[in-house]
Amino acid sequence: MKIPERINILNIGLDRFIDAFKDTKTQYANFDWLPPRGNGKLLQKLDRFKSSPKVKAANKEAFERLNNSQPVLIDVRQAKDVIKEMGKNTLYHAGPPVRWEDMCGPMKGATMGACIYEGWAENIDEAEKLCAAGEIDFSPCHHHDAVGPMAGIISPSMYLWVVENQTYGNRAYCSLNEGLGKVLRFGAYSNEVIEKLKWMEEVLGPNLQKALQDSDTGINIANITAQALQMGDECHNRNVAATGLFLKQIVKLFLRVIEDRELILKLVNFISGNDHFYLNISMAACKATTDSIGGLKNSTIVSAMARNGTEIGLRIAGCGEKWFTAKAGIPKGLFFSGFTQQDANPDIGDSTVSEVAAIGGFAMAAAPAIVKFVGGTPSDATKYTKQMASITYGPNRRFQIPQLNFMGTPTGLDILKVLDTGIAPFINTGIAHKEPGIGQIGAGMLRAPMSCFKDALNYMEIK
Amino acid sequence: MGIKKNIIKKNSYKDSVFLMEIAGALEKKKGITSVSLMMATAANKEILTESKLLTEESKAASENDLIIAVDADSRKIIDGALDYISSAFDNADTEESRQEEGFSPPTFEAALKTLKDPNFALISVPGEYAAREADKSLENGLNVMIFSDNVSLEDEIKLKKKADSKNLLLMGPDCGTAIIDGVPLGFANRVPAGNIGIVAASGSGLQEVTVVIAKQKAGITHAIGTGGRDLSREVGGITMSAGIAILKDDPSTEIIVLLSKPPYPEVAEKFIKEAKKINKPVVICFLGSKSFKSGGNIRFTSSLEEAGLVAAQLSKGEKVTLPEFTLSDKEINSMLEKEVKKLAGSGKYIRGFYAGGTLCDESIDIMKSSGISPYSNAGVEDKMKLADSNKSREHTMVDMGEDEFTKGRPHPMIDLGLRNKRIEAEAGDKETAVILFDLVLGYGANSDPAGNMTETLNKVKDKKILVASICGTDNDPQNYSGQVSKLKNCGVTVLPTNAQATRYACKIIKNIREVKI
Repeated sequence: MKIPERINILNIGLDRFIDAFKDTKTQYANFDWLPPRGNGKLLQKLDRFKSSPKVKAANKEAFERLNNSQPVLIDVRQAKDVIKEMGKNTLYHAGPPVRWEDMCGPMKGATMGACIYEGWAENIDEAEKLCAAGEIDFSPCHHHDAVGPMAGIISPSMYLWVVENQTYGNRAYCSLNEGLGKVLRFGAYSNEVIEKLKWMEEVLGPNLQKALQDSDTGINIANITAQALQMGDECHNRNVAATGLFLKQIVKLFLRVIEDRELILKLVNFISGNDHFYLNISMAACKATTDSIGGLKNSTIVSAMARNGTEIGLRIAGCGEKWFTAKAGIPKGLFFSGFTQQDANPDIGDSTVSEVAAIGGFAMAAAPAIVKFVGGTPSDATKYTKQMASITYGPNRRFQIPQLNFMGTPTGLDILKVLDTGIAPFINTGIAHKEPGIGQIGAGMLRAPMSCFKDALNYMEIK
Repeated sequence: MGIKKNIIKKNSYKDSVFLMEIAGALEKKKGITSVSLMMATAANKEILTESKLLTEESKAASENDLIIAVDADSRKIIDGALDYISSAFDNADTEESRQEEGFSPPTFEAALKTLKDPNFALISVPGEYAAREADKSLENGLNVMIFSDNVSLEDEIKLKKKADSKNLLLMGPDCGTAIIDGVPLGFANRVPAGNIGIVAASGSGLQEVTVVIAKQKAGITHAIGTGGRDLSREVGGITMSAGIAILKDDPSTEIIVLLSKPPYPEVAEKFIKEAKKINKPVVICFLGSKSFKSGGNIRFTSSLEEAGLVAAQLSKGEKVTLPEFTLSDKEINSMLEKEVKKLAGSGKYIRGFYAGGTLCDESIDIMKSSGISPYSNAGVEDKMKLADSNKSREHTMVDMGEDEFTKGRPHPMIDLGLRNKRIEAEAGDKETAVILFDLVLGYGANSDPAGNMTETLNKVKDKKILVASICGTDNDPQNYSGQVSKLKNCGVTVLPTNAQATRYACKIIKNIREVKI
């Protein structure tokens, strides 16, 4: 045994010891050590999983699938036409399963609003009675290849984006984005909300359908996202660039299939007037991408992360359709005038499919314009993205962040790395008012609770 | 004539500047006439046509597709270019974004990647997690120092065996101090380089010995810590063996010092046997254990000070003499008489409060050999154990770095608050004659321990005799001389070593007794 000529040292723990390294010009690395999560038995299991060749191979495969997926927007269809199993009095919602009586305010608001929109109830009292009487079949969007932002309500008459993963052949659906302010997805249900939904059903949906059905190739969504990430979007809380890029494509198609200029103008106004119009398309693309790893044996990569405003749920690729749930946290954020943190509803929505697919909060460094959500400076945003890199399998080959020397976005959220580092994934989100009927009050961030990750590892066995 | 080839990557958007950079780098390579990487928009296809790079099959590519067009001397060069491109796509990540000012990588793996040739880990996380981090470090080929305590004996043995099998050094757990290649690790002082190598099962002991050596203008090669349990029967000195093996073969090390609190007797015998086989002088200090006979290459010493002095003098090739005090007897006596007057007849006991555990042990040893037997919470026989460490009894020596004082608060080398309170309380006890304490300087320790004591010391200086030693050098961040002046200004008599401070305190007690008789 020999002492090395020069010591190059990794400091694990107390920062106070690094002064000696600075003074003696010793090469050192320091890191923000956090305790791993779980008791001794779980840590042993963690180490066993970390060193398992089967788990390694499965996670590599998951990473490849997430990278190789080609989500292409091919159609817009009514939910009842495209989701075969959708029954008459059925509503799909965001997050893991939840009963009416356990639903949070905005989820109830959106549910009741959807009952009025579908004509199942005349007014909000009737809608409430209907729901409370168990007349409505509730089911998570995720159980039907679908996702929805915030409350994520999908009712039979709503038009859905249809995105096909052309590498693996699966399809995924997401509702059309209504715009900002008083909207159903944030739990609002006033007349103007219902009227807008009707217009979307009667005008927007059919015309988008006509346009897309006229396209030979469809629209490659991953390509728009890749480009938008280089234009300051992270495609969850900021979709300005992506919406513009999408508009570029859809306008050409509108002009081909619609003769009425006034109508085209209305459609274009609606899309360009909503900077988040792209979010729902992106979510469908992310769902089509992440579904490609669902059920992948022995993989510890997260395949779904979703919240219903009451609970947050995780699905792990190796555990198929099982949900691991915990109480939903309350996001910290910036609020529209007149609202405060006290009004914020617990975390809600399927939009965390974005982070599972390597964008959104994980790509925060790409979006300097919205760093106010994460503490103020672009370097804070960079920190988050780099931190996420340490709990994911590897850098994305398509989604790059120019500011980080074209580093690929952190791809393949791995429960083993989350538990090992004690770093919980970072989520960007809109914030709904906790009372039904009010709508969006701000936007912000939070971290997913550690307990779901522990539960998932406790449950898993190497097969 | 070159070969032209187009490759189409369907649905692969990349930014144009990013692509141009790759193309630019490739065009500098030998054998490549031109390269173009472009999204297949109509305008870009036109550019490629004009530069005669577009092939027939690329004409159908859509604006979502990436065209890689190469004109090169051979197929092999084209293949090489394609490899370069795919690795540029894959690795457009960390290289440059790694070492940024103020950015701490969040994980072990990420931090490790930022180091060129990593070979050491210093672990100071809570004990329950330390073994896992140590195991990870060994797996990554790193030598390890575990500063943390509360690691199970079972884990300690397992880790040490693993380190041995990988030919790596594992210091600790509960290893407070080491100096490797001149780099202070944990609580350690800045001492000069030299020819003395040390292996120690004691943190503050190691600090005191290295400081004594430094004050003699000698220096060290490496000071290897083993952790407090290494010389127990169970561990059997695995790290001590490894340390000896390193120093024995290290050409810069000419003198070896072995240091420990009382080792398990069989383990002690084993090392004495081992030491005898070494072709270098070995100075051994097993504090508080039975005395062994020096002979051959082995010198046994009974205090940290003696170990340091003997090693320093061997190192310089001088004759070894060991004065009781650095100052002359006359100077000592006149200091002493002045101080005893301060007591005005009250007080008869030494009350010692220590930050350094082994320094406290050394003092107890010295007191005993002067016929003073203190009560203590440290290494004393059962009948001399303090029933309550917060209450002094006759002569009392308290190791304030023991667990009972450090649960939920920093070590007294860092936070002097608790000790200050105790000293103030003790000054109010009429039985107290001398308050004896240490200050430990160096990395990791409080940035101004003397300054942190002045308020307390000024309150008590007229009531009691204050005696201290400071373990530190002028090159330490706190500066030894500056700390000495601060204490002296508060009426503290500062002796050059802990051994001398203790002897001085004992001398005061004897003097008080004689005056009374």
